[in-house]
Amino acid sequence: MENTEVEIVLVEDNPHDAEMTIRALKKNNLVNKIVHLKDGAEALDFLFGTGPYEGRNTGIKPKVILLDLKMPKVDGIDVLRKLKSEASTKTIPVVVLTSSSESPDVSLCYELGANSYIVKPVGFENFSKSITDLGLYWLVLNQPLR
Amino acid sequence: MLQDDKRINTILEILLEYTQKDFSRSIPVSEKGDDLDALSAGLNTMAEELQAFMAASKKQEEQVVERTAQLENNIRQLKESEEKFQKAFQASAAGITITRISDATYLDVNDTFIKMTGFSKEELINHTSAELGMIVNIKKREELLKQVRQKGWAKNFEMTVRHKSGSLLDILSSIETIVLNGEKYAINIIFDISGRKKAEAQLETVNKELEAFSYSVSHDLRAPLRAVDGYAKMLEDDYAGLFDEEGKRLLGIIQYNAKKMSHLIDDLLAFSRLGKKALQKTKLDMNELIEGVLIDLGKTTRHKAQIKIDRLHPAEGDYGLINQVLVNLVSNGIKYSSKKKEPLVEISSEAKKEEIIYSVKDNGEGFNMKYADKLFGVFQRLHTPEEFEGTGVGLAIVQRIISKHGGKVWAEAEPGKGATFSFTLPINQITIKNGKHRS
Amino acid sequence: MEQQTLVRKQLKRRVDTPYISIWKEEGIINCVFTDNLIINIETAQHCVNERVLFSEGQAYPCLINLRGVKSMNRDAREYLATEGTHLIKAGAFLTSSALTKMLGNMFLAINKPNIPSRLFSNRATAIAWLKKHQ
Repeated sequence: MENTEVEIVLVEDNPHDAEMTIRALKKNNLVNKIVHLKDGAEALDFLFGTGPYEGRNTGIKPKVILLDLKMPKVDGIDVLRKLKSEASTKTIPVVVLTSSSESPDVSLCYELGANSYIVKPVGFENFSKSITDLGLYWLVLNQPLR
Repeated sequence: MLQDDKRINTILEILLEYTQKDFSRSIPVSEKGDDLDALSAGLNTMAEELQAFMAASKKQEEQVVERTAQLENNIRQLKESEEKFQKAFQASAAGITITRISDATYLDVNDTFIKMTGFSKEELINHTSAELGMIVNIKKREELLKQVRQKGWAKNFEMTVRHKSGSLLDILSSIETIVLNGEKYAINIIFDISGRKKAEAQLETVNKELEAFSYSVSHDLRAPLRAVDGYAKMLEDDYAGLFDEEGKRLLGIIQYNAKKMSHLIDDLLAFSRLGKKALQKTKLDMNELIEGVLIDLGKTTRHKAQIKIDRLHPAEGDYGLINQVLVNLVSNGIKYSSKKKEPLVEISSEAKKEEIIYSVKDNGEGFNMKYADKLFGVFQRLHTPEEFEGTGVGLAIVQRIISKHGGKVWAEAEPGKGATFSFTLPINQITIKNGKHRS
Repeated sequence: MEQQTLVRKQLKRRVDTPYISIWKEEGIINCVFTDNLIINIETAQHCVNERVLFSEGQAYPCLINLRGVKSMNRDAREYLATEGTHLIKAGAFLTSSALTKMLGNMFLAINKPNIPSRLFSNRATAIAWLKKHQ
């Protein structure tokens, strides 16, 4: 895994949801680099450079993290809590992925510092709206190939 | 002298009248002013005084009688009100205590209070609740006493007190003050609300659990659905060119149903949350409602059933929920009659005195009435998915919605001959009017 | 009434009405009821009014001659024994017949006037007694 030029970290345990998300973003030519992490534990390892990601340059921060809430081992709420309590990761925008806008988790996520949420499936439209709202649109927009 | 005899006779005559309490005549007095005249004048004066005295004493007597009657009345009223108070005091389902405000000692307590606290009357009288260890939160009691001393009352104060056995009870207490012989007393009316509190707490827990369960179920149900929908979309996006018309139609049905199911999950969730919300009742034009339902069903179900609809009585209910009831019942009718040569579904209504009965009748498979009680349970089915598909939630939803509206649901059927599902909605003023108008 | 007022102005020292004659003599006011007078509340009030006017605001011992009185009813007696004693320092009641003696006695015994009062049959004795109350 290359450590440079990470633009989006997708934390999603459901492979089909992940595939749909990645496909939607790539298809619309939105981003070059997406790192897909399969559960909360892996996400924390990646972001803090621990476990299998020991030695990764954590100074290079993703521009946005798409975080699923319901995951085995460490769930999204715990990941969010950890990220927002650490100085090194606090400023990374987090967009929470949820099955329902009426989930009580949504308000909890906002309390914990989530920046936005998207009701799954993640499609081009709802993703770009979230990103625009966060002021990240131009940052994550795919750079023309050199 | 003869003259004098006559005068004496007159005096005697009149005196006799006086003895009969007849004072209408006074004794004549002559111009002579002699002894007989003096006697007459004296007698006249005495008669006048006697008359005045008798009148005065009669008046006094009347006053005494009147005052006695008044007094007796007062005493009777007092006795009655005391009796009333005593009866209310003892018979009350609430615990009642009378305490002296200056030192908070009990003056009197009723049986309910004795039962409530476990202490005997002797243990309570002349003692304070604090002495007996009943008080759990001293600060709260002080607050209460302070308010009673200042304002003279307290309303619906919730407190926890200790039973003689040591167990705790939640009470609701209201206090008024009275003055007896210059001393202030508090009348405290106390309800034991421990049961209610416990039930409330349990209900809250159950509700929270249910909510949590609903969300996790909805999450788990949504994930595969999202995949079905999403992958169908991918297929459409990337491989549409390889499909013929029928292939595209089939793909469309997959997507349509995935979306439909997503909506059903939303509805189910909304419904499970409805336990807490009040129904949003409006006037319902059932004819309009059923037309919408049939159009909707026509989109999802390819059926050849003939559907007959009577002019339906209007009702009052929650639009979305009654719509759901009709969807479920009509789609059931279509489903279970689909194997007949000429499937028929009939929808009708009938106004009764206090309710309107709506019925959906089909000429389908029917069922044995001995299973009728299983029909409305969640996930209860009388047919295998091979015979008729379904999840077994539809009728359970129907029943919950109708009972929430204050109506009843039932079914009548005969195996092989069809089934009739009926539900009632209570009539109120508005619907009666419209019903008459229509007929 | 107008005529009576006229009489009083002309003869300041004597007043005569259909019910009573009043004059002053040696610091004593003399009242004589007319003959065969039946004293009821109206006649009693009339007589007292006349006497009070005659007294011109000053209290005097009073010699009341009951000579002509034929009867006196209860209301009149009560009035004379109370309000009727205004401006009387002491009352001497002069009686002549058995009848007036009886009336006088009854009045004093039953109504107990609120001034010193006594019954006399002799005018001179009465005046002597009244002079003690001047």
